[in-house]
Amino acid sequence: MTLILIGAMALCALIAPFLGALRPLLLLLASLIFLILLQWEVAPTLALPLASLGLTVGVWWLTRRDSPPRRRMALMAMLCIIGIFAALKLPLLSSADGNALNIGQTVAWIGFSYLAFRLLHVLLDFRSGRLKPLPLPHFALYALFFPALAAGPIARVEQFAAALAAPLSAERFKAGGSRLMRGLFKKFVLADSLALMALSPQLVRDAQTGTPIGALSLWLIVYAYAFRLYWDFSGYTDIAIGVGLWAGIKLPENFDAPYLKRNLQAFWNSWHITLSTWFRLYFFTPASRELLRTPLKAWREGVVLTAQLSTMILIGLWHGAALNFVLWGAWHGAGLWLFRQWSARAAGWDAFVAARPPLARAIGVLSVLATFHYVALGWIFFALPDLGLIGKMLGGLIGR
Amino acid sequence: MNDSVRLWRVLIKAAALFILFNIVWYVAQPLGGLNRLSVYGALFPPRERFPFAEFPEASYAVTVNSLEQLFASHRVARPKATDEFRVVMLGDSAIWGYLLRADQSQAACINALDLHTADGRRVRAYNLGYPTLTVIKDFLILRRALAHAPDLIIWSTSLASLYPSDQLDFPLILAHREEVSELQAQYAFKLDQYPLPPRPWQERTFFAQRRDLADWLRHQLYAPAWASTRLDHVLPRFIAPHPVNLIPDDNVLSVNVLRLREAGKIAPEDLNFDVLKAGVDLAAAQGVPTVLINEPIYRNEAHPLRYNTYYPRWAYDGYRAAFEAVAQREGWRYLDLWDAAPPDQFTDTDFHLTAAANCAYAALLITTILAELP
Repeated sequence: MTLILIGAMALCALIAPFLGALRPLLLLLASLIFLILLQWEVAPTLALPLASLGLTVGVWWLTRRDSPPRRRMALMAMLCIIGIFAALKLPLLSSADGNALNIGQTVAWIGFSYLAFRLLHVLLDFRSGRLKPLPLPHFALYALFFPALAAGPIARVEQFAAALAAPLSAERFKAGGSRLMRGLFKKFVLADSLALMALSPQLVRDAQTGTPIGALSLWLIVYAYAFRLYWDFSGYTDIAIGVGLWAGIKLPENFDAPYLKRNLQAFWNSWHITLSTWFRLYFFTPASRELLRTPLKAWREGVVLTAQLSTMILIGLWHGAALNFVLWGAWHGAGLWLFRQWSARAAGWDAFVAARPPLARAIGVLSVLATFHYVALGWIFFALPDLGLIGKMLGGLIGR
Repeated sequence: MNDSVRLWRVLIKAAALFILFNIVWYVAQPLGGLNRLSVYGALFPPRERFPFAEFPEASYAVTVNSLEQLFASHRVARPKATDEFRVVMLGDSAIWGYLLRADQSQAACINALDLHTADGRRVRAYNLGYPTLTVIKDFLILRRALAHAPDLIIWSTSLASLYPSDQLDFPLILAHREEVSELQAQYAFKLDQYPLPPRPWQERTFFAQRRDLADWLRHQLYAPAWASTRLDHVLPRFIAPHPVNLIPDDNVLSVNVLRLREAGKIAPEDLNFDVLKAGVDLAAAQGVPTVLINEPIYRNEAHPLRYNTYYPRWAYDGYRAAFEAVAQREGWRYLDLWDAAPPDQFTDTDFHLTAAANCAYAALLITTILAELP
């Protein structure tokens, strides 16, 4: 069914540019149809797709003209969206399948995780006076563009408007096709194959730890999960970007070889880029600024630690309201802070290494490996829903 | 160049590449070589029994229909120790260990006994059972098992494994239809379903073999999960018990065995003892003795017409008599252990035993056989 939907999306994207000025309307119509189809596959209801459309139109109407009452209403709308989002992320409403990958989808309401963050970005920019209004069809297309419904990326509205206005290039067939093929290969060959050996709650429950071969296999299972998650998510992103290119709309990149980065900060600049950028812009920076106005400002690194921990925990909670996502966020928040402490004190060491190219290459490789392993161990918190399983897995990795 | 011309060129190029790839695949047939390679036994522990998965995700196994791959992944493919007395066990789901863990199969139970032969060799049993009731499948497995230096073959069968009408229509056998044809040319077995329809040319293309390739890959990818869990079969919390209240008739549960019913008795030539003979002779030609077993079944002693859902009394009694007669005529080592397991120890069918009864039966089986070996 997924492949049929992707095929239908690709077909719509191919046809739409041949309709000239009607392209945005056709793409919007296709988006609404796909929204209903995707929703129908999971939970057959028209109410949620209609609610997505209603929210989109409401936010568009609210942000059409700037005025103090509308700004207050925008704040109310933001709280409302955050409230719905939080409710949907409660375990009772999120995915019941413990072995399914969590890349941000909210099962109960298809596309809402990404729609919410697009609309919040619009409302925040509106309140800060940065928003440039769009006509309703273009705005609705931005919020509900079908390739990016289920797994992002979260484009910025001005970025999307510029892409929509850009002239169509004949190169888009080749570029879009190769991107689509790459995405299909990543998702349906690499990721789905690795799923057979990747970390899952059931596998950890079944695992007999405490033997050398068991520990080796468990490491492989963690690596498999890391690459499955990456290829699954980046595969979907490639598909979205490829289909978007065919439709004549360049969506933003979401991944940039994240497992080849030398430190955790670089990893987070290349993993789910649009989400991490969103949180940096709309939470980390304002939160840091606010914290610097509190007594905590005396300990500057304390401000950074608090902001980084809270940002990463919120990113964790974006995936689901559960303790394991809090732990995963804290793991990364702490890692980012520790890296900051290290890099602030290691200028001499960096200069020493940079002057010796062979050593620099070796340190580079070791840094990539260390960063990858830090991230891979973090996926254990992400993948396993309870502390007992996390403990069993971590123990198993060291042969206990 | 306008958009539509460019689009057509991309589509035509893609189609041409796909056709070319299929032609290369058709000529090279790489699956044959690939199926001799396995990560089991090389990078990960070998499988204890052939993969047979009804629920792959939960059992960390996928059903593979290449016997070469089944052997390449199995423990029997490991080199034989100098002090090893290698026992190969052939048969159906009862030997494979349906609804039992791999370490509860008869082979595993025998290994747990840590027995030694009179000349001091350590008895190591290998589970080469496969959950289908057909002796042709056992014969295909036996031919390959002989390449792994067995010292003894224990071949368990039941009446349902010997129906000439039901030997071939199984995925594992259909995947080896050319080999079945070769065997048929050599042995002329009584096989009602022969000749099998020839393999169409399309089946040699990549497009047709994509599922086999995916299964090979999936089988390899399950290796870390198998190594970590040693699970290869879903064990349900609740097992629906085999029927005890039997239908009040004496039909054989196989539509093609009607001719047996019409005759009202079973003669040796009505069953595929010819396949057993071919197997025993083939093993003997390599100096390997075979012990044939009539495996235990559930018996309802009170029912006047039937022993169980599979077998009416007239058919099963006739089969036992026929087996005994053929074994005597051919000089086979034969054990009729049809009643060697207590009736209350059968699980979902009339052939599958509980773990405890399976091990007790395996102990009885191996000690009886070892005592009779020269």
